[in-house]
Amino acid sequence: MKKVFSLGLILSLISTYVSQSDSEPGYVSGNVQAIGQYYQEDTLINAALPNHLYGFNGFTNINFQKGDFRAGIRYETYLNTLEGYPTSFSGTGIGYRYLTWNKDNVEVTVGSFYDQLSSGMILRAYEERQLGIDNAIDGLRLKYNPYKGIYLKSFIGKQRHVFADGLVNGNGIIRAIDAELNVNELFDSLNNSKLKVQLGGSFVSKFNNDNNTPDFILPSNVGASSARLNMRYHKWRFGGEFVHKINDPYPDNQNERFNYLYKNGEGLLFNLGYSTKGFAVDFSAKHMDNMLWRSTNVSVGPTDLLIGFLPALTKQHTYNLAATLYPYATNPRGEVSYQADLIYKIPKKTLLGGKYGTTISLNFATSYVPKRDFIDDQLTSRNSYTTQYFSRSDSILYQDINIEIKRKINKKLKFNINYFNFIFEDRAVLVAQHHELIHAQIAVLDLTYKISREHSLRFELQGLWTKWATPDQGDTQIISTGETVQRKQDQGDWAFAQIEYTFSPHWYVAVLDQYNYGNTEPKKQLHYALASAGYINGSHRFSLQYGKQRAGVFCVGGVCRAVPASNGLTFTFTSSF
Amino acid sequence: MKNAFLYLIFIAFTGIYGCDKIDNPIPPVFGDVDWSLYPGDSNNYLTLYNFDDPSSNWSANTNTSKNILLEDYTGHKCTNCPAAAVIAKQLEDDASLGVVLVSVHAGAGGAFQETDSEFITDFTTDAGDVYVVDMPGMFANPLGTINRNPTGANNTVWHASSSWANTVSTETSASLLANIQVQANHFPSTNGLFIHTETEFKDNLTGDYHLIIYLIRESVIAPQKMGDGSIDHHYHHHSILSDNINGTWGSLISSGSIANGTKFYNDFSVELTAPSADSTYDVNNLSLVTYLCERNTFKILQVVKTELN
Repeated sequence: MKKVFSLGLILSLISTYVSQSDSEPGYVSGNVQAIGQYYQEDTLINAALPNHLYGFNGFTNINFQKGDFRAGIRYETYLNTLEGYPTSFSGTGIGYRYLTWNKDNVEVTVGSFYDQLSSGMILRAYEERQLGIDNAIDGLRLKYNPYKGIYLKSFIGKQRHVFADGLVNGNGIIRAIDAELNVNELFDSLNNSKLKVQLGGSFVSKFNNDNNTPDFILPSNVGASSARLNMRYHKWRFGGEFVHKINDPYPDNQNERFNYLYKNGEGLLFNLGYSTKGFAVDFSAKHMDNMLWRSTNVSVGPTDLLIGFLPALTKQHTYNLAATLYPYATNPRGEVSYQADLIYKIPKKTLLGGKYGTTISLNFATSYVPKRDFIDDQLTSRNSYTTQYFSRSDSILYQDINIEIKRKINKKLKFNINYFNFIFEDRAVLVAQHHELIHAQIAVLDLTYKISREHSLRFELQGLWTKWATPDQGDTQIISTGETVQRKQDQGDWAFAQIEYTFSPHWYVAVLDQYNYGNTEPKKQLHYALASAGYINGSHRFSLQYGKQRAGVFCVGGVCRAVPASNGLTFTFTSSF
Repeated sequence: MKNAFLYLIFIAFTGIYGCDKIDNPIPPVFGDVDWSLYPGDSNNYLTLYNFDDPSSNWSANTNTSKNILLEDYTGHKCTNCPAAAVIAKQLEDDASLGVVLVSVHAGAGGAFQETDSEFITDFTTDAGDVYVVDMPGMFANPLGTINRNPTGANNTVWHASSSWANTVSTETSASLLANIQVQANHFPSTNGLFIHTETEFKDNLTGDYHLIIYLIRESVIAPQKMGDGSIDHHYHHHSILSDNINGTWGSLISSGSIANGTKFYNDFSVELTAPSADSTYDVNNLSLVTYLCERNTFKILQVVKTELN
């Protein structure tokens, strides 16, 4: 009844507005995505086999725009939720609905909305459908541009928590205000200056009293503030942001030092870059401590009700082995991180650059646990420790050194070579199969051969090698034959091969195989073969996939979701209008 | 300008909010007790006991005598036990000895403590059943412990009743190592019992010291097998261990080295069995036996008895 009412209200408001603005045409747009997976038993890979055998995730966005007025809904269906996807998504119904209008430099949004303040450390309401993250705010938002160069924004609302035949919000209330000053727009004399300056500041507060623990006095109102500065001069650019959050204790069952921690949270993020034709360099640094915060103060799922986003200072990898075995996952308790990026294009028609030029990308990213000087105040202030900005401990969380070389040989052939060197501390994030400090190297060869104007072949070869386990990690293992053998870290070595044939503009087919040939346990030296085919027609895309998928981790921006092993048939359909 | 005004109203609506800065997250401890057992406003209890300054509730403990806990391990089907109980009662009645008597219905195998259609009262307790296992050497009933001194059979804590008098006599000359004071407040409407203790060490000591509180029923009339094999259906069972207020091995109050003169204050609460359900739990028939025990050697440093009526 509630859903019918909300849909009716939107339609009624739309029709009212349309009748008042008959002079302007109205537009309806939308898109749909549907993924269905039929699960088969496969005890060899410990494949997921739910009782319902078939999982389905789908959604449809329908938007209407007429002049400065916009409205829309998203209808979502999880019948039953795909394995590995958060079970907090279930059923079918409306999960998102909004009305927005804009008049006289004022924009009002009623209903659901996404938003981000600066880098998102202080607030990021966003949707990452592949991860099962949707923390949209449901409330009221106002944007106002009172004067040129001055942008104000304020909103209040609750966060989407779960989907159970419809939107279910958390109990916490979020209140936010943000102001941004574009100095060059504000002063006419600076309009054409080569120095561009933007200043901003935000204040976000939450109210929540779900937690009734008798053990601690908990704050009902928790606030965070941030200040940011972005500058650009010629080919240089600089960005900096500081975030501060007051006491925001949460239960932490894994470490008493972080259990109901009352220490203030803090975050510092810097970025300095230079770019010119054929060359770019970028350096980023991040200090983050105790900045994870949610609109609730009780234990919830790891990605539930997050207000702030902890940005990742790593490159988002796309090649299978690099992306799904040891991907960077943000340490929510804190980290000191650095990243350097360098891109250089060797000019074409040179000895090294070849006829079309060669692009070399170097990337280095590393992350450490902050140096924490612990104090014994568990029975008093419970600040637990002190930190200094950018002071890191010797406990490495992650290191990624990678190089990519892209080159077009001739009109028919181009290649992409990658090398990755990872150090991955899984005891901090618990996403690999074995929780230890893992060293892994990956090499990738990606070759595309254009047979003709409409036909092309793509080959992809990947190899992953982990180090031998050290004595302190337990360097031997008793395998199923009863022998004691030297052990490789985590699951050992992997090989990956894929061949993809595309005949434009409609069809593609591909087969791939992942082979865990270096697993110390012979019984686990398995193949994961997968075949797929797809048909594309304009904005419609349909694909089928059959085979085995290994257990792994899928991460976007340092936020991860464990993907269980599965065997079966998957279909995907996407379309837009 | 109109919009600016509206916007300011909106900011005022959503943007005026503060933060709760908590400097002291730990709630003040208002007694480690269950306040639901106190009838009425718990603040009124402060007139009975000051939790903020526990030392203010106690006068100086001038006691210089070491009392003796005599635990008579007995059973209602044990024919030799009534005779031992007589010895124990005689020792208790001699005020010069400072004996505190507790009858613990427990034994090796538990045959003497079993219930049936005639012996319907189960006098056993979880703690008693543990003691006969944890303290090595228990082999029969009746046996007793005397401040759990390991001078019994085979150098265990278990003493035959024939040696109780001599062992008690020896123990009377032992040094006083600790003093205990107890206050108890009973609230009939809730059957709630609030207990406060002061434990003072009288020497520099090292060990794991536990404070243990027994709930004692002074008298229960129930069948008992007698020495001649007959059954006395109106036998007066005396000073019966009925429950452990703070668990089998009580509360650890000090571990490691402890200095002479150190005091500890502890608070407990318990809901007693309602007299309407079992008349032997009438408060006039109840006492507390509170003692300090070194957990590794079982030795008892001091014991006091507190009547609840």
